[in-house]
Amino acid sequence: MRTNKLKLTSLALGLCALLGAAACDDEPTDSPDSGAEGGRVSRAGSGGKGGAGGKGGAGGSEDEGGKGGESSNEGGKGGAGGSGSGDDECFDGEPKETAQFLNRCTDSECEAFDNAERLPLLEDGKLPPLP
Amino acid sequence: MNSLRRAGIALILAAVGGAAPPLCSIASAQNVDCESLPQPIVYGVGGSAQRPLFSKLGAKLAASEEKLTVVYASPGACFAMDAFNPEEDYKLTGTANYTLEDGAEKTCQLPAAGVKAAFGSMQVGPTLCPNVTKLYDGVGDFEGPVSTTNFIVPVQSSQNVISAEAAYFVFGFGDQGQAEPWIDNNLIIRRNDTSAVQLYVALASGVPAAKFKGIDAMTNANSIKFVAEASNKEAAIGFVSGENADDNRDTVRTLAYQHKDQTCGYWPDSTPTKFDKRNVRNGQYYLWGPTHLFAKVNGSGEITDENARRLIGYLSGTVTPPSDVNILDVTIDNGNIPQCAMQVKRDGDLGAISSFQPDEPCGCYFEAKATGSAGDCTECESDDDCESGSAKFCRHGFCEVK
Repeated sequence: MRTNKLKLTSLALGLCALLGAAACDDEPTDSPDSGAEGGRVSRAGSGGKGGAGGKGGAGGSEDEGGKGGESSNEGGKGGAGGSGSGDDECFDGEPKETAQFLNRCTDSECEAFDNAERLPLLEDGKLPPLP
Repeated sequence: MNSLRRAGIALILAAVGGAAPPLCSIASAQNVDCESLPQPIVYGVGGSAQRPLFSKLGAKLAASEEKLTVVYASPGACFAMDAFNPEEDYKLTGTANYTLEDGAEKTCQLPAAGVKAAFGSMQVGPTLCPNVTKLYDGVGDFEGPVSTTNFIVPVQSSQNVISAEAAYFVFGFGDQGQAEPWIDNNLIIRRNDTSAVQLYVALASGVPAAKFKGIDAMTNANSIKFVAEASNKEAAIGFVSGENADDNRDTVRTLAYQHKDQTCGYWPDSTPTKFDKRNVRNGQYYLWGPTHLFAKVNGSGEITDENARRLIGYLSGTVTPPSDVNILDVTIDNGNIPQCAMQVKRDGDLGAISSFQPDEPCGCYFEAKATGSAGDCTECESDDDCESGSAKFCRHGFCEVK
Protein backbone atom coordinates (compact mmCIF):
# COMPACT_ATOMS: atom_id res chain seq x y z
CA MET A 1 0.00 0.00 0.00
CA ARG A 2 1.16 3.48 -0.58
CA THR A 3 -0.19 6.93 -0.45
CA ASN A 4 -0.82 9.25 -3.27
CA LYS A 5 0.43 12.43 -1.90
CA LEU A 6 3.19 14.75 -1.32
CA LYS A 7 2.55 15.70 2.23
CA LEU A 8 3.47 12.26 3.41
CA THR A 9 7.04 13.08 2.66
CA SER A 10 7.36 14.58 6.09
CA LEU A 11 5.88 11.49 7.68
CA ALA A 12 8.22 9.33 5.73
CA LEU A 13 11.15 11.44 6.76
CA GLY A 14 10.13 11.08 10.35
CA LEU A 15 9.88 7.36 10.02
CA CYS A 16 13.22 7.29 8.27
CA ALA A 17 14.70 8.81 11.34
CA LEU A 18 12.93 6.38 13.62
CA LEU A 19 13.89 3.38 11.56
CA GLY A 20 17.43 4.38 11.04
CA ALA A 21 16.70 5.09 7.43
CA ALA A 22 16.50 1.39 6.73
CA ALA A 23 13.61 1.91 4.40
CA CYS A 24 14.65 5.23 3.00
CA ASP A 25 17.84 4.83 1.08
CA ASP A 26 16.69 7.27 -1.52
CA GLU A 27 16.57 10.63 0.04
CA PRO A 28 13.40 12.51 -0.71
CA THR A 29 14.33 15.58 -2.60
CA ASP A 30 11.38 17.02 -4.33
CA SER A 31 8.78 19.51 -3.43
CA PRO A 32 5.17 18.57 -3.87
CA ASP A 33 5.05 20.07 -7.30
CA SER A 34 8.36 18.90 -8.52
CA GLY A 35 8.59 16.06 -10.90
CA ALA A 36 5.53 17.18 -12.73
CA GLU A 37 5.85 17.00 -16.44
CA GLY A 38 2.98 17.33 -18.78
CA GLY A 39 0.64 17.24 -15.84
CA ARG A 40 1.94 13.99 -14.47
CA VAL A 41 3.96 13.30 -11.38
CA SER A 42 5.96 10.20 -10.84
CA ARG A 43 4.52 8.04 -8.10
CA ALA A 44 7.23 6.45 -6.07
CA GLY A 45 7.35 2.75 -5.45
CA SER A 46 5.52 0.87 -8.11
CA GLY A 47 3.62 -2.33 -8.06
CA GLY A 48 2.83 -2.36 -4.40
CA LYS A 49 6.06 -4.14 -3.71
CA GLY A 50 7.93 -1.27 -2.33
CA GLY A 51 7.86 0.00 1.13
CA ALA A 52 9.34 -1.42 4.21
CA GLY A 53 7.05 0.43 6.43
CA GLY A 54 3.72 -1.28 5.96
CA LYS A 55 0.74 0.97 6.40
CA GLY A 56 2.60 3.69 8.12
CA GLY A 57 3.49 5.47 4.99
CA ALA A 58 7.21 5.11 5.27
CA GLY A 59 7.66 2.73 2.42
CA GLY A 60 9.30 3.65 -0.74
CA SER A 61 12.38 1.99 -1.97
CA GLU A 62 11.37 -0.55 -4.49
CA ASP A 63 14.21 -2.72 -3.39
CA GLU A 64 13.15 -2.91 0.17
CA GLY A 65 10.52 -5.54 -0.34
CA GLY A 66 7.80 -5.70 2.21
CA LYS A 67 4.62 -6.63 0.45
CA GLY A 68 1.93 -4.13 0.84
CA GLY A 69 4.10 -1.42 2.23
CA GLU A 70 3.04 2.11 1.60
CA SER A 71 4.90 4.79 -0.12
CA SER A 72 4.08 8.16 -1.47
CA ASN A 73 3.37 9.06 -5.04
CA GLU A 74 4.61 12.48 -4.50
CA GLY A 75 7.59 14.24 -5.66
CA GLY A 76 8.95 13.02 -8.91
CA LYS A 77 12.18 11.41 -7.92
CA GLY A 78 10.94 9.28 -5.20
CA GLY A 79 9.04 11.38 -2.75
CA ALA A 80 9.03 9.45 0.44
CA GLY A 81 11.53 6.98 -0.79
CA GLY A 82 11.68 4.96 -3.89
CA SER A 83 12.92 6.00 -7.22
CA GLY A 84 9.74 6.41 -9.20
CA SER A 85 10.01 4.33 -12.28
CA GLY A 86 8.12 6.82 -14.36
CA ASP A 87 5.59 4.26 -15.52
CA ASP A 88 3.58 4.77 -12.39
CA GLU A 89 2.44 8.34 -12.29
CA CYS A 90 -0.30 10.54 -11.00
CA PHE A 91 -1.86 13.41 -12.87
CA ASP A 92 -0.94 16.72 -11.35
CA GLY A 93 -3.16 19.09 -13.27
CA GLU A 94 -6.82 20.03 -13.45
CA PRO A 95 -8.43 16.78 -14.55
CA LYS A 96 -10.75 16.89 -17.51
CA GLU A 97 -10.87 13.31 -18.70
CA THR A 98 -11.85 10.20 -16.78
CA ALA A 99 -8.33 8.76 -16.80
CA GLN A 100 -7.05 12.01 -15.33
CA PHE A 101 -9.58 11.89 -12.51
CA LEU A 102 -8.68 8.27 -11.82
CA ASN A 103 -4.96 9.04 -11.70
CA ARG A 104 -4.96 12.50 -10.18
CA CYS A 105 -2.45 13.32 -7.46
CA THR A 106 -4.17 13.38 -4.10
CA ASP A 107 -3.28 12.58 -0.53
CA SER A 108 -5.25 9.35 -0.61
CA GLU A 109 -3.56 6.07 0.09
CA CYS A 110 -3.42 3.66 -2.78
CA GLU A 111 -2.02 0.26 -3.58
CA ALA A 112 -1.17 -1.02 -7.02
CA PHE A 113 -2.24 -4.41 -8.33
CA ASP A 114 0.51 -5.85 -10.50
CA ASN A 115 -1.43 -7.46 -13.33
CA ALA A 116 1.65 -8.76 -15.10
CA GLU A 117 2.92 -10.53 -12.03
CA ARG A 118 -0.31 -11.84 -10.59
CA LEU A 119 -2.38 -12.79 -13.62
CA PRO A 120 -0.61 -15.55 -15.55
CA LEU A 121 -3.39 -15.85 -18.10
CA LEU A 122 -2.91 -12.31 -19.33
CA GLU A 123 -1.57 -12.50 -22.86
CA ASP A 124 0.79 -9.61 -23.48
CA GLY A 125 -1.39 -7.51 -21.25
CA LYS A 126 -4.56 -8.50 -23.06
CA LEU A 127 -7.50 -10.42 -21.69
CA PRO A 128 -8.19 -13.81 -23.26
CA PRO A 129 -11.76 -14.75 -24.21
CA LEU A 130 -13.93 -16.12 -21.43
CA PRO A 131 -14.13 -19.92 -21.28
CA MET B 1 -35.56 -10.43 -17.37
CA ASN B 2 -39.02 -11.88 -17.48
CA SER B 3 -41.30 -12.17 -14.53
CA LEU B 4 -41.20 -15.94 -14.37
CA ARG B 5 -37.48 -16.00 -13.94
CA ARG B 6 -37.66 -13.31 -11.30
CA ALA B 7 -40.39 -15.19 -9.55
CA GLY B 8 -38.02 -18.12 -9.34
CA ILE B 9 -35.37 -15.88 -7.86
CA ALA B 10 -37.84 -14.57 -5.37
CA LEU B 11 -38.72 -18.06 -4.27
CA ILE B 12 -35.06 -18.89 -3.83
CA LEU B 13 -34.70 -15.76 -1.76
CA ALA B 14 -37.39 -17.02 0.52
CA ALA B 15 -35.62 -20.33 0.82
CA VAL B 16 -32.33 -18.78 1.90
CA GLY B 17 -33.97 -16.34 4.21
CA GLY B 18 -33.00 -13.30 2.19
CA ALA B 19 -34.99 -10.21 1.44
CA ALA B 20 -38.71 -10.60 1.41
CA PRO B 21 -39.80 -11.68 -2.06
CA PRO B 22 -42.69 -9.82 -3.60
CA LEU B 23 -43.85 -12.50 -5.96
CA CYS B 24 -44.53 -15.33 -3.58
CA SER B 25 -46.84 -15.49 -0.66
CA ILE B 26 -45.21 -16.30 2.60
CA ALA B 27 -47.83 -15.90 5.23
CA SER B 28 -46.68 -15.12 8.68
CA ALA B 29 -48.92 -14.80 11.66
CA GLN B 30 -46.49 -12.30 13.14
CA ASN B 31 -46.64 -9.89 10.23
CA VAL B 32 -49.14 -7.07 10.29
CA ASP B 33 -50.99 -6.21 7.14
CA CYS B 34 -49.11 -3.52 5.29
CA GLU B 35 -52.41 -1.79 4.57
CA SER B 36 -53.01 -1.38 8.30
CA LEU B 37 -49.90 0.75 8.76
CA PRO B 38 -50.30 4.50 9.31
CA GLN B 39 -51.48 6.36 6.23
CA PRO B 40 -50.32 7.62 3.88
CA ILE B 41 -48.28 4.69 2.65
CA VAL B 42 -45.88 4.68 -0.28
CA TYR B 43 -44.95 1.29 -1.74
CA GLY B 44 -41.62 0.73 -3.43
CA VAL B 45 -39.54 -2.08 -4.89
CA GLY B 46 -35.94 -2.57 -5.96
CA GLY B 47 -32.46 -3.46 -4.79
CA SER B 48 -31.50 -4.66 -1.36
CA ALA B 49 -28.74 -2.05 -1.25
CA GLN B 50 -31.33 0.69 -0.71
CA ARG B 51 -33.28 -1.18 1.95
CA PRO B 52 -31.30 0.35 4.88
CA LEU B 53 -31.77 3.83 3.41
CA PHE B 54 -35.55 3.46 3.16
CA SER B 55 -35.62 1.99 6.64
CA LYS B 56 -33.75 4.91 8.16
CA LEU B 57 -35.66 7.50 6.16
CA GLY B 58 -38.93 5.69 6.85
CA ALA B 59 -38.34 5.93 10.58
CA LYS B 60 -37.79 9.67 10.35
CA LEU B 61 -40.81 10.25 8.12
CA ALA B 62 -43.03 8.11 10.35
CA ALA B 63 -42.17 10.37 13.24
CA SER B 64 -42.32 13.63 11.32
CA GLU B 65 -44.93 16.33 11.21
CA GLU B 66 -45.70 15.29 7.62
CA LYS B 67 -46.04 11.56 8.10
CA LEU B 68 -45.33 9.03 5.40
CA THR B 69 -44.97 5.27 5.81
CA VAL B 70 -42.44 3.73 3.45
CA VAL B 71 -43.04 0.06 2.59
CA TYR B 72 -40.21 -1.40 0.51
CA ALA B 73 -39.74 -4.82 -1.07
CA SER B 74 -36.16 -5.62 -2.08
CA PRO B 75 -35.96 -8.70 -4.28
CA GLY B 76 -33.37 -7.18 -6.60
CA ALA B 77 -32.48 -4.02 -8.43
CA CYS B 78 -34.11 -4.72 -11.77
CA PHE B 79 -37.49 -5.37 -10.18
CA ALA B 80 -37.55 -1.58 -9.97
CA MET B 81 -37.88 -1.61 -13.73
CA ASP B 82 -40.35 -4.50 -13.86
CA ALA B 83 -42.68 -2.53 -11.66
CA PHE B 84 -43.18 -0.06 -14.50
CA ASN B 85 -43.07 -2.40 -17.47
CA PRO B 86 -46.20 -1.54 -19.46
CA GLU B 87 -46.38 -5.12 -20.72
CA GLU B 88 -46.57 -6.58 -17.23
CA ASP B 89 -49.21 -6.00 -14.59
CA TYR B 90 -46.61 -6.09 -11.86
CA LYS B 91 -47.88 -6.03 -8.30
CA LEU B 92 -46.12 -6.49 -5.02
CA THR B 93 -47.30 -9.56 -3.14
CA GLY B 94 -45.93 -11.54 -0.26
CA THR B 95 -44.06 -9.47 2.29
CA ALA B 96 -42.19 -6.19 2.45
CA ASN B 97 -40.31 -4.13 5.01
CA TYR B 98 -41.14 -0.95 6.86
CA THR B 99 -39.82 1.04 9.79
CA LEU B 100 -41.81 3.29 12.10
CA GLU B 101 -40.85 5.74 14.83
CA ASP B 102 -39.04 3.19 16.98
CA GLY B 103 -36.46 2.65 14.24
CA ALA B 104 -36.85 -1.12 14.21
CA GLU B 105 -37.29 -2.57 10.74
CA LYS B 106 -40.23 -4.95 10.52
CA THR B 107 -41.97 -7.10 7.95
CA CYS B 108 -45.56 -6.66 6.84
CA GLN B 109 -47.94 -8.76 4.76
CA LEU B 110 -48.90 -7.26 1.44
CA PRO B 111 -52.49 -7.56 0.18
CA ALA B 112 -53.27 -10.94 -1.33
CA ALA B 113 -54.39 -9.27 -4.52
CA GLY B 114 -51.14 -7.38 -4.67
CA VAL B 115 -50.42 -3.68 -4.70
CA LYS B 116 -48.79 -1.49 -7.30
CA ALA B 117 -45.40 -0.02 -6.49
CA ALA B 118 -45.40 3.75 -6.57
CA PHE B 119 -41.63 3.96 -6.84
CA GLY B 120 -38.66 1.84 -7.79
CA SER B 121 -35.08 2.13 -6.64
CA MET B 122 -31.81 0.71 -7.84
CA GLN B 123 -28.16 1.60 -8.16
CA VAL B 124 -27.90 1.38 -11.93
CA GLY B 125 -29.65 2.95 -14.87
CA PRO B 126 -32.53 1.09 -16.50
CA THR B 127 -30.78 -0.19 -19.61
CA LEU B 128 -28.28 -2.30 -17.67
CA CYS B 129 -31.17 -4.54 -16.69
CA PRO B 130 -31.79 -7.58 -18.87
CA ASN B 131 -34.13 -6.94 -21.80
CA VAL B 132 -34.58 -3.26 -20.99
CA THR B 133 -33.52 -1.14 -23.95
CA LYS B 134 -34.80 2.21 -22.73
CA LEU B 135 -36.66 3.82 -19.89
CA TYR B 136 -40.33 2.99 -20.26
CA ASP B 137 -42.57 5.73 -21.56
CA GLY B 138 -44.29 7.69 -18.82
CA VAL B 139 -41.67 6.80 -16.23
CA GLY B 140 -39.25 9.27 -14.72
CA ASP B 141 -35.66 8.47 -13.66
CA PHE B 142 -34.55 10.66 -10.77
CA GLU B 143 -31.09 10.67 -9.24
CA GLY B 144 -30.69 10.26 -5.52
CA PRO B 145 -27.63 9.97 -3.29
CA VAL B 146 -24.46 8.34 -4.54
CA SER B 147 -23.39 4.85 -3.57
CA THR B 148 -20.46 2.60 -4.40
CA THR B 149 -19.86 -1.01 -5.26
CA ASN B 150 -17.10 -2.52 -3.14
CA PHE B 151 -15.09 -5.69 -3.53
CA ILE B 152 -14.87 -7.33 -0.12
CA VAL B 153 -12.73 -9.99 1.55
CA PRO B 154 -12.79 -11.31 5.11
CA VAL B 155 -11.00 -9.06 7.57
CA GLN B 156 -8.53 -11.91 8.08
CA SER B 157 -7.44 -11.86 4.43
CA SER B 158 -4.05 -10.42 3.55
CA GLN B 159 -5.35 -9.01 0.26
CA ASN B 160 -5.69 -5.24 -0.15
CA VAL B 161 -6.36 -4.58 -3.80
CA ILE B 162 -7.95 -5.98 -6.94
CA SER B 163 -7.77 -4.74 -10.53
CA ALA B 164 -10.41 -4.79 -13.25
CA GLU B 165 -8.33 -7.40 -15.03
CA ALA B 166 -8.12 -9.55 -11.92
CA ALA B 167 -11.89 -9.30 -11.48
CA TYR B 168 -12.22 -10.51 -15.07
CA PHE B 169 -10.32 -13.68 -14.25
CA VAL B 170 -11.88 -14.22 -10.82
CA PHE B 171 -15.50 -13.83 -11.86
CA GLY B 172 -15.15 -14.83 -15.49
CA PHE B 173 -12.95 -17.91 -15.11
CA GLY B 174 -13.46 -18.90 -11.47
CA ASP B 175 -11.22 -21.78 -10.48
CA GLN B 176 -9.57 -21.72 -13.92
CA GLY B 177 -8.54 -18.10 -13.70
CA GLN B 178 -5.26 -18.55 -11.82
CA ALA B 179 -5.88 -15.22 -10.12
CA GLU B 180 -4.50 -16.23 -6.76
CA PRO B 181 -5.76 -16.43 -4.10
CA TRP B 182 -9.30 -16.22 -5.51
CA ILE B 183 -9.51 -19.55 -7.31
CA ASP B 184 -12.16 -21.49 -5.36
CA ASN B 185 -15.60 -21.32 -7.01
CA ASN B 186 -17.25 -22.05 -3.68
CA LEU B 187 -15.65 -19.00 -2.14
CA ILE B 188 -16.18 -16.62 -5.04
CA ILE B 189 -19.39 -14.93 -3.97
CA ARG B 190 -21.45 -13.30 -6.68
CA ARG B 191 -25.02 -12.14 -7.26
CA ASN B 192 -27.12 -12.49 -10.41
CA ASP B 193 -27.86 -10.42 -13.46
CA THR B 194 -30.68 -8.50 -11.79
CA SER B 195 -28.33 -7.21 -9.11
CA ALA B 196 -27.03 -3.68 -9.42
CA VAL B 197 -23.67 -4.48 -7.85
CA GLN B 198 -23.16 -7.38 -10.24
CA LEU B 199 -24.19 -5.21 -13.19
CA TYR B 200 -21.55 -2.68 -12.12
CA VAL B 201 -18.84 -5.31 -11.72
CA ALA B 202 -19.83 -6.76 -15.09
CA LEU B 203 -19.56 -3.39 -16.76
CA ALA B 204 -16.22 -2.61 -15.12
CA SER B 205 -14.58 -6.01 -15.65
CA GLY B 206 -16.02 -7.01 -19.00
CA VAL B 207 -17.57 -10.25 -17.72
CA PRO B 208 -21.20 -10.50 -18.89
CA ALA B 209 -23.50 -10.22 -15.88
CA ALA B 210 -25.13 -13.57 -16.63
CA LYS B 211 -21.82 -15.44 -16.83
CA PHE B 212 -20.29 -14.91 -13.43
CA LYS B 213 -18.59 -17.87 -11.75
CA GLY B 214 -19.12 -18.55 -8.07
CA ILE B 215 -21.98 -18.78 -5.61
CA ASP B 216 -25.05 -16.53 -5.92
CA ALA B 217 -25.60 -14.99 -2.50
CA MET B 218 -28.94 -13.43 -3.59
CA THR B 219 -28.64 -10.34 -1.39
CA ASN B 220 -26.07 -7.89 -0.15
CA ALA B 221 -26.53 -9.18 3.37
CA ASN B 222 -25.87 -12.75 2.30
CA SER B 223 -22.77 -11.71 0.37
CA ILE B 224 -21.39 -10.20 3.55
CA LYS B 225 -22.25 -13.33 5.50
CA PHE B 226 -20.81 -15.78 2.96
CA VAL B 227 -17.55 -13.88 2.61
CA ALA B 228 -17.14 -13.26 6.32
CA GLU B 229 -17.84 -16.86 7.26
CA ALA B 230 -15.80 -18.47 4.47
CA SER B 231 -13.86 -21.55 5.46
CA ASN B 232 -10.73 -20.21 3.76
CA LYS B 233 -10.43 -16.53 4.56
CA GLU B 234 -7.70 -15.89 2.02
CA ALA B 235 -9.64 -17.37 -0.89
CA ALA B 236 -12.98 -15.66 -0.27
CA ILE B 237 -14.11 -12.62 -2.23
CA GLY B 238 -17.39 -10.93 -3.08
CA PHE B 239 -18.89 -7.53 -3.83
CA VAL B 240 -21.61 -5.48 -2.17
CA SER B 241 -22.86 -1.93 -2.03
CA GLY B 242 -20.67 0.46 -0.09
CA GLU B 243 -23.13 1.10 2.71
CA ASN B 244 -23.36 -2.63 3.36
CA ALA B 245 -19.58 -2.97 3.38
CA ASP B 246 -19.19 -0.04 5.75
CA ASP B 247 -21.80 -1.44 8.10
CA ASN B 248 -19.81 -4.64 8.40
CA ARG B 249 -16.22 -3.51 8.69
CA ASP B 250 -15.81 -5.75 11.70
CA THR B 251 -16.14 -8.84 9.48
CA VAL B 252 -15.30 -7.81 5.92
CA ARG B 253 -12.80 -5.41 4.41
CA THR B 254 -13.14 -3.37 1.24
CA LEU B 255 -10.40 -3.88 -1.33
CA ALA B 256 -8.83 -1.00 -3.17
CA TYR B 257 -9.93 -1.12 -6.80
CA GLN B 258 -7.66 -0.38 -9.73
CA HIS B 259 -9.55 0.21 -12.94
CA LYS B 260 -8.16 -0.18 -16.44
CA ASP B 261 -5.68 2.58 -17.19
CA GLN B 262 -5.45 3.38 -13.50
CA THR B 263 -1.93 3.19 -12.12
CA CYS B 264 -2.89 2.48 -8.54
CA GLY B 265 -5.84 0.98 -6.69
CA TYR B 266 -7.98 3.19 -4.46
CA TRP B 267 -10.51 2.70 -1.70
CA PRO B 268 -13.75 4.69 -1.69
CA ASP B 269 -12.30 6.52 1.31
CA SER B 270 -8.94 8.24 1.44
CA THR B 271 -7.64 5.41 3.61
CA PRO B 272 -9.03 1.93 4.26
CA THR B 273 -10.16 2.94 7.73
CA LYS B 274 -11.78 6.33 7.12
CA PHE B 275 -15.35 7.11 6.10
CA ASP B 276 -14.75 10.32 4.16
CA LYS B 277 -15.59 8.92 0.68
CA ARG B 278 -13.08 11.37 -0.73
CA ASN B 279 -12.11 9.13 -3.60
CA VAL B 280 -15.72 8.85 -4.68
CA ARG B 281 -16.42 12.51 -4.28
CA ASN B 282 -13.38 13.51 -6.36
CA GLY B 283 -13.67 10.75 -8.96
CA GLN B 284 -10.61 8.70 -8.06
CA TYR B 285 -12.56 5.57 -7.12
CA TYR B 286 -14.24 4.10 -10.15
CA LEU B 287 -17.18 1.99 -8.96
CA TRP B 288 -19.85 4.51 -8.02
CA GLY B 289 -23.04 6.03 -9.26
CA PRO B 290 -26.20 7.77 -8.12
CA THR B 291 -29.19 5.89 -6.85
CA HIS B 292 -31.88 5.78 -9.52
CA LEU B 293 -35.43 6.39 -8.36
CA PHE B 294 -38.30 5.65 -10.70
CA ALA B 295 -41.95 6.70 -10.71
CA LYS B 296 -44.71 7.37 -13.16
CA VAL B 297 -44.72 10.92 -14.50
CA ASN B 298 -47.12 13.11 -16.43
CA GLY B 299 -46.40 14.91 -19.67
CA SER B 300 -44.51 17.58 -17.80
CA GLY B 301 -42.23 15.08 -16.15
CA GLU B 302 -43.86 15.50 -12.76
CA ILE B 303 -44.40 12.46 -10.59
CA THR B 304 -48.09 11.64 -10.54
CA ASP B 305 -48.27 9.76 -7.25
CA GLU B 306 -48.20 12.35 -4.49
CA ASN B 307 -46.45 10.15 -1.94
CA ALA B 308 -43.81 8.99 -4.42
CA ARG B 309 -43.34 12.61 -5.41
CA ARG B 310 -42.64 13.50 -1.80
CA LEU B 311 -40.26 10.62 -1.13
CA ILE B 312 -38.28 10.95 -4.35
CA GLY B 313 -38.31 14.72 -4.05
CA TYR B 314 -36.78 14.56 -0.59
CA LEU B 315 -33.97 12.31 -1.83
CA SER B 316 -33.31 14.17 -5.07
CA GLY B 317 -33.53 17.59 -3.45
CA THR B 318 -36.51 18.84 -5.42
CA VAL B 319 -39.01 18.79 -2.55
CA THR B 320 -38.36 20.43 0.79
CA PRO B 321 -38.51 17.76 3.49
CA PRO B 322 -40.44 18.21 6.73
CA SER B 323 -38.60 20.56 9.05
CA ASP B 324 -38.01 17.74 11.51
CA VAL B 325 -36.37 15.44 8.96
CA ASN B 326 -32.75 16.08 8.03
CA ILE B 327 -32.29 14.30 4.72
CA LEU B 328 -28.57 15.02 4.65
CA ASP B 329 -28.08 13.35 8.02
CA VAL B 330 -30.15 10.32 7.06
CA THR B 331 -28.23 9.93 3.82
CA ILE B 332 -24.81 10.35 5.39
CA ASP B 333 -25.63 8.14 8.35
CA ASN B 334 -26.59 5.41 5.92
CA GLY B 335 -23.21 5.56 4.21
CA ASN B 336 -24.39 7.31 1.06
CA ILE B 337 -23.08 10.53 -0.39
CA PRO B 338 -25.54 13.34 -1.04
CA GLN B 339 -25.13 14.96 -4.44
CA CYS B 340 -24.21 18.24 -2.77
CA ALA B 341 -21.05 16.62 -1.39
CA MET B 342 -19.86 15.49 -4.82
CA GLN B 343 -17.16 17.24 -6.81
CA VAL B 344 -17.69 15.09 -9.88
CA LYS B 345 -20.52 13.66 -11.90
CA ARG B 346 -20.61 10.99 -14.55
CA ASP B 347 -22.40 10.38 -17.80
CA GLY B 348 -24.44 7.22 -17.40
CA ASP B 349 -23.55 3.97 -15.67
CA LEU B 350 -19.83 4.05 -14.91
CA GLY B 351 -19.61 6.64 -17.68
CA ALA B 352 -17.24 9.51 -18.24
CA ILE B 353 -16.33 11.50 -15.14
CA SER B 354 -16.33 15.28 -15.17
CA SER B 355 -16.12 18.11 -12.66
CA PHE B 356 -19.27 19.08 -10.83
CA GLN B 357 -20.09 21.94 -8.52
CA PRO B 358 -23.38 21.64 -6.66
CA ASP B 359 -25.56 24.72 -6.33
CA GLU B 360 -25.20 24.58 -2.57
CA PRO B 361 -22.19 22.41 -1.70
CA CYS B 362 -22.17 20.37 1.48
CA GLY B 363 -18.73 18.79 1.28
CA CYS B 364 -17.60 20.24 4.59
CA TYR B 365 -20.80 19.21 6.33
CA PHE B 366 -20.46 15.73 4.86
CA GLU B 367 -16.93 15.31 6.20
CA ALA B 368 -17.90 16.64 9.59
CA LYS B 369 -20.85 14.30 9.80
CA ALA B 370 -19.22 11.25 8.28
CA THR B 371 -15.84 11.48 9.97
CA GLY B 372 -16.36 13.72 12.99
CA SER B 373 -13.94 16.28 11.62
CA ALA B 374 -14.40 18.91 8.95
CA GLY B 375 -10.65 19.25 8.46
CA ASP B 376 -9.66 22.66 7.18
CA CYS B 377 -13.23 23.83 6.70
CA THR B 378 -14.37 26.97 8.50
CA GLU B 379 -17.51 26.86 10.59
CA CYS B 380 -20.00 29.66 10.04
CA GLU B 381 -23.43 30.95 10.88
CA SER B 382 -23.79 33.31 7.93
CA ASP B 383 -21.92 34.45 4.83
CA ASP B 384 -20.40 37.22 6.94
CA ASP B 385 -18.28 34.57 8.63
CA CYS B 386 -16.84 33.49 5.27
CA GLU B 387 -15.12 36.61 4.06
CA SER B 388 -11.59 35.27 3.87
CA GLY B 389 -10.41 32.85 1.22
CA SER B 390 -12.39 31.50 -1.69
CA ALA B 391 -15.12 29.84 0.38
CA LYS B 392 -17.45 32.80 0.81
CA PHE B 393 -20.81 31.17 1.28
CA CYS B 394 -22.09 29.66 4.49
CA ARG B 395 -23.68 26.30 3.63
CA HIS B 396 -24.87 23.86 6.24
CA GLY B 397 -22.72 25.54 8.87
CA PHE B 398 -19.48 25.66 6.89
CA CYS B 399 -17.93 28.07 4.42
CA GLU B 400 -18.12 26.74 0.87
CA VAL B 401 -17.07 28.19 -2.47
CA LYS B 402 -20.58 28.49 -3.84
